[in-house]
Amino acid sequence: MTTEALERKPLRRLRSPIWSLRMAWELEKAAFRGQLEYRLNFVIMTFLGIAYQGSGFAFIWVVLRQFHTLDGWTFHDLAFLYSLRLLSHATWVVPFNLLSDIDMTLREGMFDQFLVRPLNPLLQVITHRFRMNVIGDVITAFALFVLAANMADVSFTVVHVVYLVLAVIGGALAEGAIILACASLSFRLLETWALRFLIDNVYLMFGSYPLRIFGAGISWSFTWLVPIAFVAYIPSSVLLKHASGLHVSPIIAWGAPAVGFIWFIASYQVWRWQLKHYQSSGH
Amino acid sequence: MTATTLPPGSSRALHRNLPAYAEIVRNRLKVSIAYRQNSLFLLAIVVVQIFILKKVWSALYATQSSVNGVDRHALLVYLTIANIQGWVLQDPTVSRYMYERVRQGLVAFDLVRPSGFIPQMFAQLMGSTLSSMMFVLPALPIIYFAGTLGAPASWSAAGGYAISLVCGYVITMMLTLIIGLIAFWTTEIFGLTMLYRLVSQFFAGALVPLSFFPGGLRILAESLPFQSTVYVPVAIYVGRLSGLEMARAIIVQLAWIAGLSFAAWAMWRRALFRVVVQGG
Repeated sequence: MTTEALERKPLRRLRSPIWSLRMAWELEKAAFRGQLEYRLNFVIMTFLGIAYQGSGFAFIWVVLRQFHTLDGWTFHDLAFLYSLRLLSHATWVVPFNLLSDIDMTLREGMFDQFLVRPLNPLLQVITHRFRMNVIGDVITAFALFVLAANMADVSFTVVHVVYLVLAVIGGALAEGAIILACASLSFRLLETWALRFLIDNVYLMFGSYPLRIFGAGISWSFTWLVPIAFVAYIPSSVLLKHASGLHVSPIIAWGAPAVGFIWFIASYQVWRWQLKHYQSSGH
Repeated sequence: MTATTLPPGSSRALHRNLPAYAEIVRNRLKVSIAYRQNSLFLLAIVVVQIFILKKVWSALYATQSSVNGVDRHALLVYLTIANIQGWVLQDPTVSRYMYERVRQGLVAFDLVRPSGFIPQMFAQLMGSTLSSMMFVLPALPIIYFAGTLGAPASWSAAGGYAISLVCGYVITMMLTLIIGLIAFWTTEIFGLTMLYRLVSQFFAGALVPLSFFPGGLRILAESLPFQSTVYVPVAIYVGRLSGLEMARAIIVQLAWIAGLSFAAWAMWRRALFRVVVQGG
């Protein structure tokens, strides 16, 4: 073994994905502990997260008390759909919430540090701090999901549970893929927060209702051009036995979780490609 | 009394400082033009929301043409106008601007200016309202297709709407001012402004008209000032509130203006002392 090979060995260990993820986990924990120091802010932000995600649910509740069904979906069905989308959303924002700060990270030159450290820059972007309002998202998501899963007529066989877990992860990636691709544009455009806010809202608003009510054109677009249907509408249709009303075949409906994975892999390539266009702000 | 010692609130001072306020309004407009990309995306969210509401409510009305005495067309006009109006009149960034001034100590400069602090903030609000209007007017054709636009129910509805809208705007200004004044006491206001936006949007009836609220929630909504900002004017517009009911609703609005003005005034007097403490 040459000396060169000996010196390279620890570096290779450094770059292994498992090591990277462990490192990212440690950084995330440190960021979380850091934020816990601001107790009052933690309480306010958590409460805000609950109010933000709960207000959409309040709308469905108030309206369905009056009308009983929305395009054949009962309040219980809609609650399940809404909470499944929220669960996917929470699964995405807990690790990746700091992508919403990317404009600032780039503008203030913090990204220069990330490039010289031996860890994937994306992992550093998402772990350098922690935004506490996502805890509110998680609390609301779990509370509503437990409530809705009890109310709605969902069968929880092993197959269904496996499908549900994969669908939540796939849904998280289906939302994340678009946000990540948009955040990648910040390397060139410098400011994309309003666009990401719009995307976030489009996912929230279109993703929380049976997509069918918006018409065939929108259903098609938000299935094949932007993967909103795969976040919660298609999986909850399968689990609630509404699949016959879907605009896609049962094979695609059952394969829904895979779509999110494919989108995310493609989106990560966009990120790596746009990364090359990074210009330091001059620190 | 010389001109320089006029108290900021007096009418002569107000008149003399008009050019200064006009300048604040103009600056606000310039800022929103400079960041037009962001303003357009934020407007797009409102348009998407109007579209979603139209589709969801149309699906709900699929089997009925009238629910609770509200027919489908009137409801869709209500929702469209309520959401545009809510977006034009309300700007949470002004509360946040006040908070930033206080936090960074810049409020000291605002206070020593001959134009009063409160009128300065009102000028900020008017500037943001004008800039929102500037974006909404060219977007009206898109909003027409995304939602449903229609004329007021009658001439008296149009007149009532104009009066009620002005009252609603003053109430919105007072609420924004009160939220902003809280910055003098707390060190953090971001969560509060977001929360205010969510709560006020829901209780103002921008998503569901108050007449659809179930019993207890409706009593709560009617005892809060938010309904006077959106629900009352737009319900008058579509003819839901007319005659005596309309007059009563406008009187309630005037009462809110009086109550909130007093609350803002009382807070402002105390806030001034807080500034002295912080500066000392």
